[in-house]
Amino acid sequence: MNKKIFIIHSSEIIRKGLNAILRSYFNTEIILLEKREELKSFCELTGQDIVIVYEYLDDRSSLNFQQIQQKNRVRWIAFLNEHEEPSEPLPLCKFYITPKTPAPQLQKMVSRCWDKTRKQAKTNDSEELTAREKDVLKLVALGHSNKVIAEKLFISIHTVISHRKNITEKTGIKSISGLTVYAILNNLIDTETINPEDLI
Amino acid sequence: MEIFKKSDKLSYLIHRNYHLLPVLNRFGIKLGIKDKTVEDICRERKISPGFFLAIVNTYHNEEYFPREELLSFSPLEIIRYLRKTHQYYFQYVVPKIDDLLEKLTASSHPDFKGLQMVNVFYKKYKKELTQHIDHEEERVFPYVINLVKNHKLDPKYTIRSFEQEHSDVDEKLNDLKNLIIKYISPDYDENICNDFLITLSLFEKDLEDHARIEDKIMMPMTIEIENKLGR
Repeated sequence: MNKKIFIIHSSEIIRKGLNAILRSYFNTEIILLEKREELKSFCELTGQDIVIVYEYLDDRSSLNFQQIQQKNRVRWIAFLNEHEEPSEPLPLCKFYITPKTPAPQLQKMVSRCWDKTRKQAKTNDSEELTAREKDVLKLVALGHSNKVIAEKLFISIHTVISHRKNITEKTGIKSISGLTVYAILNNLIDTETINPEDLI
Repeated sequence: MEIFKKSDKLSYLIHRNYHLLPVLNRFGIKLGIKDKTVEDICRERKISPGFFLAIVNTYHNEEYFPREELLSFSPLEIIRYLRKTHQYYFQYVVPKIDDLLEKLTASSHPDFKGLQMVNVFYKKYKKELTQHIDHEEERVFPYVINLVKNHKLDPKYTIRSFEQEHSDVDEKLNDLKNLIIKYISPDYDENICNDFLITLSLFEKDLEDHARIEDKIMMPMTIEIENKLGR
């Protein structure tokens, strides 16, 4: 996944300082913006892993980052110009920094925003596959392409892809041969008639 | 995040992160290091300190990218290191995983389908991993070495033409872990299984680091050489 860092701050000294700190550590595109509104010109970004370090202004102005949030994975770090801790929880983000934050701590926060192990499903979402997802999984395990699966089940390729995405999210298994093992273990495929070794 | 420096004692690095032990071995460093610093050891073993620090720091910090150190060493050093890593995988890690999986299977009921399937899956994974590494050893590395030594472009190839996705091989390793953690009923020796999963997890981390060195260090350096030669 492509990564980007946005730094939004009205002070040029602070923008460039943050940029220097992050650039010495990350090999990522860093974009410096003076005002939040400028983020609008990046609304065409999709599927990116984005960290936004933004100047927190207590002006209740609406944070309208909808577009960028919907199509990307966005993490926020607020920059507080005051040295104190925020009196109330900040919108959107769990990290904040102040002018006193040591540089390594900022690097650590950005790292944590991207920490892959945290993407492993931790919450208690239901793992059970729907009947339709099982149908798709069965055909995937038998080695059929998305196109063939779509034809066999009378659904669009787009729907097949969306089912496959859900299957991978629910099971935590990405590769086709891994899904085949899963299907065999869950008796979705009749291994009496097919040699499982040919499938995996 | 902690970045190790030339003046740090090597013993300090190991206490901070013992997963660096095999990394040190790849540089030919053996223990009994007394109070020697990184700089001392590098001088002794004729390793460029910039390269050494780039390797241990990228291993220690996943997002770290050593922009400046990058300029201080040759792609040949990286290749020597990557080859050592490959040897470590095939002479030590993979046989260890083979062995643990064999013991694990032996500890379960012979009719038990789950681990048999895992075995088949693992064999397939191993085959792909071997192909991937052979491809690097036989095609990618010789290309880079030739480029650095002869300063001549090969009209047929660029480093990009060898580019292969690591992700597919990585995916399978993660799937292997998930199959055992989530879907196999535990009809086996637990301690062997723990060893097996811990070994897989360490291997996964090492492979990720390995891929990062290739993609983020070796690849851009080679592209730069190609550009200088007028690609």
